[in-house]
Amino acid sequence: MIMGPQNIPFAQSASSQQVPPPYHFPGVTVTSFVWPVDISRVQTYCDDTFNLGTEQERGFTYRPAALWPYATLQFLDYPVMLSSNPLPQDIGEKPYSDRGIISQAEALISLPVIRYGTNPVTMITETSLEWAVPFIVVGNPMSSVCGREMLGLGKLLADITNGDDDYPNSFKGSIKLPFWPSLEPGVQMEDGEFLTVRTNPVLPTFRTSKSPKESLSTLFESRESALAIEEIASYSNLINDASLGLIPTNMRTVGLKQYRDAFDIERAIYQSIVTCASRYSNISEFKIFDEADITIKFNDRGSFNEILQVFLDVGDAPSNKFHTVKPVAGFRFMADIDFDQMRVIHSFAIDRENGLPPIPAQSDLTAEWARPLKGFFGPLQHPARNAK
Amino acid sequence: MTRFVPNFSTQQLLPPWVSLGARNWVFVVKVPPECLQTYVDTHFNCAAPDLAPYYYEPFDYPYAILRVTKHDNFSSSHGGVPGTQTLRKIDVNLAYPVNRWRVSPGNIRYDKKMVWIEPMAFDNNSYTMFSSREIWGNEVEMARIELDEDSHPNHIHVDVATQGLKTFSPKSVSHLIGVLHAELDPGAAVNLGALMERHRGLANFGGLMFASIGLKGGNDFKHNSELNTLKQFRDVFNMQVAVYRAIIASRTDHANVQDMKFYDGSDVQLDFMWSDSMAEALQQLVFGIGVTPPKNSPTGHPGGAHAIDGQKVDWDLTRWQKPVVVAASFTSDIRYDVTGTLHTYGG
Repeated sequence: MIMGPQNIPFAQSASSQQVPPPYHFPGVTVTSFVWPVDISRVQTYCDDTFNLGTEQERGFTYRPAALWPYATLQFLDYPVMLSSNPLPQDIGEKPYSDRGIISQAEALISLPVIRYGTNPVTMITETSLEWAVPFIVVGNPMSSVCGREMLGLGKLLADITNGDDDYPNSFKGSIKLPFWPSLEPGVQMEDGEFLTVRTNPVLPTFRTSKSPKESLSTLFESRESALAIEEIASYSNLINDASLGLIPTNMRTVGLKQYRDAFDIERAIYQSIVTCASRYSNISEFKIFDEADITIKFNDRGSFNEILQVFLDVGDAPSNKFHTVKPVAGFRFMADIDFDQMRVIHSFAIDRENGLPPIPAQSDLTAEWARPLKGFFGPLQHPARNAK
Repeated sequence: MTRFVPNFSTQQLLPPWVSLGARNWVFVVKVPPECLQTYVDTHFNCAAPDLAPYYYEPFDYPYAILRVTKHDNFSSSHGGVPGTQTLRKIDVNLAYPVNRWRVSPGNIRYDKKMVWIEPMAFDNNSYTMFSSREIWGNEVEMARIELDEDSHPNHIHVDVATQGLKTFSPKSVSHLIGVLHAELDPGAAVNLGALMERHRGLANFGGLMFASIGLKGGNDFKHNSELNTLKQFRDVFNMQVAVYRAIIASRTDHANVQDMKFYDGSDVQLDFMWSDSMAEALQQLVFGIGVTPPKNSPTGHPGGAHAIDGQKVDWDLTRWQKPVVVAASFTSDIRYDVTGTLHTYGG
């Protein structure tokens, strides 16, 4: 675990917007849609967000998971969110886990990325599949602040709706976000619909535009996916095995936690890569939508274009039209979700103001599976330190 | 230099900020003298682990101001481009003047200066809320805010609500709860002279309050308007540890002030709604440590339930009335600038 070198206390207050991890979310409804993603956009995202500085300095490189060239859009409906930290936080107030619960809707887009070690040893011990979350919106302000300030997730606050469309057991979801219709100075911010998703009822249903397909089967017809799930015989196994971590029902998210200097806003005063584990359990009511009847439309208007450029094949300027993606799968299930194992796996070196000494880079890159071995044999050295 | 990596979730409303034609309401309230000492001690004066070369103490006059500002043309002037990312918003904050001393390595205090702190703040725009917290270090809470100035001439009505918990209990569910209600219904013309005589220190406080305002409409921005904030971010797992903590200095300057009006405090009804989510802030900053609402306090929103932005607000809370000494309203152009980092902890 990386500890900051300064041991700076945080000034506590009961009205703090941040709730201590880990978190437990029972009875979450998860609706997911999967579509092919342009690998080059994922690589650009990795380079811009994680592969900062030189490879020798940081000791790792993030690349797209070529095995799974898909983006996953998830709508999550949390009836209960609570802090499950068993340890006293000693902040002089009632423990957060005893204060009450919040509920909210959330939507996110995740992209599988692989962190590779950069020498023969770390290629084995520090290579890890993780999920980058380039887009995440939530409906609860406390969740957005906590996600941004503690976890390094760029959560925006949005008006998220989800539920049945016209037919029972169908789905309609939408995300409204503040945006600027034009990037010209003086144009007023508006609330605009960023994304809409509509489906017909879950399979089996007679309300299909084409003959019903076993949607996930069509997904698995792709060569890459078939390789990944060759040992999975049925949908129930798929869920129980969490598909080798490739369907994000058991995922480590990765994000860049960073803050900017107040005066020189181009300068970072803290910058690190944070990973968190989200584990799905008690999965039930798994239902599949016919992908032929799923409509996903992104609004490529005004400042929304900047968001879409990260994960969609859109131009550098807004087209002021809706951008439609063609999903290869859509499914829904209920699950309990635990969000824990927050780790700073690499903190980048920081130059400081007011004549203070710089903070050197630190790394804790051992892959999840190798951590017990590391505990048994002792810490493996960071390649940068070996080089010294 | 370690470069900040820009992306769409962090690029909104970069400083400086400019608000043209902002409507301002200022409500002056008396606060117990011991209020704020705990706040400045825990946020500015304590070792973390090193001491900042400054010492903050509450001001001699036991007054605070509740500021309500309605911005219809608020934008970033980052990069010298005025009008970038224009938006409308309303913000509400509680501000206090404090004395800031410089402290020598030999622990000698010198160079006393009056600065403002804003320990309680609300905003109804998420992008400015994020920027306030993440750039300026101001602990702003997202809120639903309604400001009605048009229903009756000279009559304003302000409601503030946030997501919160009425009572801390494992079964409590966070929802939109009322935080503040204010109504200004002007009566006879205010006699400022009589008010100054009645309230000790008010004249001096008023002088400080308006020292930051270019009353003649000038644009010189050479006023005493420094704001200090504690900018801090938590560790990813340990709630007690900050990965960054610093004292930030900024300026809030008003120019082209128009339509200045004063109101007798008795024309204002100001209520804070009592909940466990707000208890610490209300006790520490407004009513006094350990003080709870009187048993005969009214409950609920005056006039019944009141939604904001079409969202139902739970006003079924004890309403704790706070007398207002004097109030003022004016229209101005406001410029917000970060001036620097006074101290970075962890050296």
